[in-house]
Amino acid sequence: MEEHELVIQAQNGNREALARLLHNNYEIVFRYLIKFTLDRITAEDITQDTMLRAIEKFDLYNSEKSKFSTWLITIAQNIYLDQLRKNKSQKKYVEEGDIVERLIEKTDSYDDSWNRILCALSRLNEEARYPIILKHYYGYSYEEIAKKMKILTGTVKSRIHNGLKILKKELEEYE
Amino acid sequence: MSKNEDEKIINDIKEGLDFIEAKISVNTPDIARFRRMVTQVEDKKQKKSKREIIIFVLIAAITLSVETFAFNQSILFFIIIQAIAFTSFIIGILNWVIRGNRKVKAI
Repeated sequence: MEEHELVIQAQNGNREALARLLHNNYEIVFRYLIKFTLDRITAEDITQDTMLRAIEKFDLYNSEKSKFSTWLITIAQNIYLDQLRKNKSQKKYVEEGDIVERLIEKTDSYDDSWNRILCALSRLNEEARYPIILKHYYGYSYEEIAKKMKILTGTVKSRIHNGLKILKKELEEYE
Repeated sequence: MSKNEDEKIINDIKEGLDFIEAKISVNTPDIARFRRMVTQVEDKKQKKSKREIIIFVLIAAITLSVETFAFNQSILFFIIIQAIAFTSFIIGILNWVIRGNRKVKAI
């Protein structure tokens, strides 16, 4: 069944249609989150929370404004940002080791410089990692990132700048 | 930090994340699990909605009873009760608007 039809049925109260919509979009949300968390368990937890919140707030979804997956990703972003704010003062234990092999079960050969940068990125404070990925991977502007994170544009720029400096320093130490 | 070094790091981040995107396996739960989630949340919402309707009806019934009693006892008493209720309502609305504006400013 087409997603559009599922949305209409779900909006008419069809629980099966809503379950199918969420099932079909689970992977998209997970793949989005794994890039920010670089940790499978955290990404799965937030994806699960996203699904629950989507069910609670489904009445507020307007299919004319955005695709269902876009709406889910917005929810996922908000949950992730809420967690960042709550965990601000908590130092997270970061597992050592090869991050690519931890995330991907069977690997073909890959460029080791990716692994090094991703390890360094995973050790970076999430408040710096998040805007770096939004800016340089997804192409958001500083102003858009500032709006999402509810901080000033200048703060976004300095977090990105300082984050890249820390990454460079870590990579130099590795070499 | 030179621009070239910046670009190298950014390029490695992009390629690394692209690689993960391409290769990572996703353990999507079975559809039955989503059905259970939807059922649980929807049932909870319905219970909450019923509870709110009951509370509303109770408050409305009490309010009407008090108003009727007051009207029957004394017109003056009835007018006083109306004035208190109306003033409380206006204060409540103003408070809600002010809190809403504070939230917008905080963003």
